[in-house]
Amino acid sequence: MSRPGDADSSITRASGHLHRFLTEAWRLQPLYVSLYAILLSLLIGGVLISLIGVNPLTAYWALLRGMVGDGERLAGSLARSVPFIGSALALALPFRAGLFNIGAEGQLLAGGLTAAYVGALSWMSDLPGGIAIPLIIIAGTMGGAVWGGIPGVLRTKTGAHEVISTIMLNSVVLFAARWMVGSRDPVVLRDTESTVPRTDPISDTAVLPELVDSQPVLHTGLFALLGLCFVVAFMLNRTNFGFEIATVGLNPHAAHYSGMNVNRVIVLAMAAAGACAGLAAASEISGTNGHFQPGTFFLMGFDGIAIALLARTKPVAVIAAALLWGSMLSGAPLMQQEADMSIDVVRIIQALVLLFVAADAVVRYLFRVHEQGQSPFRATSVEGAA
Amino acid sequence: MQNRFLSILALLLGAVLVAAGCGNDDDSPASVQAVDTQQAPTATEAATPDASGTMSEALISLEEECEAWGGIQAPDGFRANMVTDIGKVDDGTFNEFAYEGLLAAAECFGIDSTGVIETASEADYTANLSTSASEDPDVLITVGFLIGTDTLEAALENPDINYIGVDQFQPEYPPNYVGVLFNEHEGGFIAGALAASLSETGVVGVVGGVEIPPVVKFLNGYEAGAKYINPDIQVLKVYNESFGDPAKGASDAQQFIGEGADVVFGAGGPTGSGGIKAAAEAGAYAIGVDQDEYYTTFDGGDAPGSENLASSAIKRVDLSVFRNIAEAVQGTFSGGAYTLTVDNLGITYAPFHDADVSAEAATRNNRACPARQRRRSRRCGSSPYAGGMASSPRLASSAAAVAIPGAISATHH
Repeated sequence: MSRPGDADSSITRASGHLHRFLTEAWRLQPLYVSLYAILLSLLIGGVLISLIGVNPLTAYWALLRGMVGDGERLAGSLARSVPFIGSALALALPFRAGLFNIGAEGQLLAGGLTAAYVGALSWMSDLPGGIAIPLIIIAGTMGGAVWGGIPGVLRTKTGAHEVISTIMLNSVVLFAARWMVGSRDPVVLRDTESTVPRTDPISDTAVLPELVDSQPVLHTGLFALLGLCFVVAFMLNRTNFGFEIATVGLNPHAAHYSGMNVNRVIVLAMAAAGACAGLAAASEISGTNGHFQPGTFFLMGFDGIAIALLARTKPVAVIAAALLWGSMLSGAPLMQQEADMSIDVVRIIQALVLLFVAADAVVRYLFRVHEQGQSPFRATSVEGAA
Repeated sequence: MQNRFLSILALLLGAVLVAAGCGNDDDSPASVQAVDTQQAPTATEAATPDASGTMSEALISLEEECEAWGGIQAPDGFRANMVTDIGKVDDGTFNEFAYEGLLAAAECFGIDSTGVIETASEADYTANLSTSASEDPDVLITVGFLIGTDTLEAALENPDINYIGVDQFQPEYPPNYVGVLFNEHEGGFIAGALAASLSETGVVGVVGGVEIPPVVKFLNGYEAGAKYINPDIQVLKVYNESFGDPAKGASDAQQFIGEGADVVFGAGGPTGSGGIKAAAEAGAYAIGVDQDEYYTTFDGGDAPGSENLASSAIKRVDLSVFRNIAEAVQGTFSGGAYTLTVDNLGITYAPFHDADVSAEAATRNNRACPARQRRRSRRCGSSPYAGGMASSPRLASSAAAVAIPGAISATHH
């Protein structure tokens, strides 16, 4: 893809230095494309901003200060990013098995709803925090796992493609959740004392401990989700189940002939994906919101897909991508307030990043990055290449 | 493993579907807009007295309101900030009207520093409020009932900032927090009175949204208004499962027309708008709600059927924001509920625009309520039917007073 021959030699040399630095200092070689895609998108975003008549440096400076301006803002950005880790893992994990889980949005809602329901049960307040907190987290994780497992089962039993069924299940749980939380007659899960539609507040004993009193609050759910990334990475790379997932992803027929239970792997991979999203939702319910309100998860699952793609579906890289994504969203309001620049600019930049990650040939050509193995997002299929 | 691009396409499609399903967000990454360059035609413009000549009384412009405040000026360094509900400052909802109120107040009182944050997700409410408050504004406007709880907390936390919360009911308000509320039943009453005046068949309809208090108030007010003009009128009412279903609204409207209705009022967000659009296209009169739907649903007269949009029952969110900023500028800001009513011109009706509703002929409306009487006492005719929610006859009759400014008569077309 890349054509280094006709390159301007100074650019080649400069990017060569940069590559070496990144490779040796950071071991970021597999992420070149993502990093350059971000750079390129910021440049194009800057052009857009100046076209509108705002100084891009002013806008980006406000954006940067909104992201990491002081300790509290940094904590707020971290807090905003935490749930994205879970929703991104929900894509990254089954991706290894060749499954495209678009259902994180719904799995977050299912997990959040379950967590909020369990958290608000009357006997929860009698339990010590040491039991109540794991309970609410496990409940949310299970809720997500069940909702994620369903498309897995549908795939294996009926052949329904998971892309379709997860999209449909997103709608099912979204409208079901809205009804359960919003309905006054009959009251299902609605907190009837609240003016806004949401569930009863969870028990005080089920609230995750707070780390920093930022907006939103940074809580210990951070550790749960950071840990989850390493667990998923370990599972995918070092366990038998991970090997099965990879095998099924590369060639389900080969996996079948070698004696693996492909159906079981598919169902479990999807359920595990749902569990990741469910855990993220439970941590939000328990640490940030204290109740369930469907709108707080709006687009969180879909952004997770983007983040996972940006991290090239590597579980540990998801952390960095989620931090970038969440802190951009968290910094954008300051940019709007100070530079009068719509938050949409951030969305455009994010979309451009994804575009360049997907169409990585552009980035490879511009920055002279040599191809490192097959991109997982090529339209030309693996089978076709083989 | 095939066709990843297809899959990505599918996921984008899914995102769009969900966004559309939520019906409250329009942050497609493809649209760039500078915050204050693009403006849809504003309520302010709409307020210019039109041919009917009687508009100015019911629909005052923000310029007129500005004059009423006698040229007070904000002190140096006065700052007014705003945090929207999910959406944009030009999305044709309360966000836009609150923003117009803010802009007009900034111009009127010489406020040179304003800042706006457009909320993209419910997860951002608290963060946006604190970002906005970090600039130490004198006034902070927040829009929408969903952000109400967070606004209340912020108001308690920052006693030096005056909060104006549009559409936010609290059982108790701290002294630095005003919640803007609406007498929807009065708007409904106006629409009902207008509908009954226009109707020749003696049957009018209303397409409601979800059966929640504001919608119930609209519908009961509508029935009361219609019966106030014509006690024998038949009022067809329907509630819906959703605010976001224009197709259902349209089929409701067609159903009504099939049953003989010749005026349809839509009081249920996009569902209601779908209803009035269908009604107008089918040749029945339509009445919009919340804002002048001539500019939104009917594209400023470009959409088919706009000649049948008689009017809209408007909530003057812009006016409420303007007035409360003025109070803050003047140093008389005090917390509590600020209810928009017909009396304070916060609930009113839009110009007739292209509709063939003439102001000339005095009609049975005038007989019901002579002009000089309505000026003074706001009480005229017999005590009107007050409906389930319109419990106070005084409110209901004052609504009638505005509905009736010698104006509404149907000239046939």
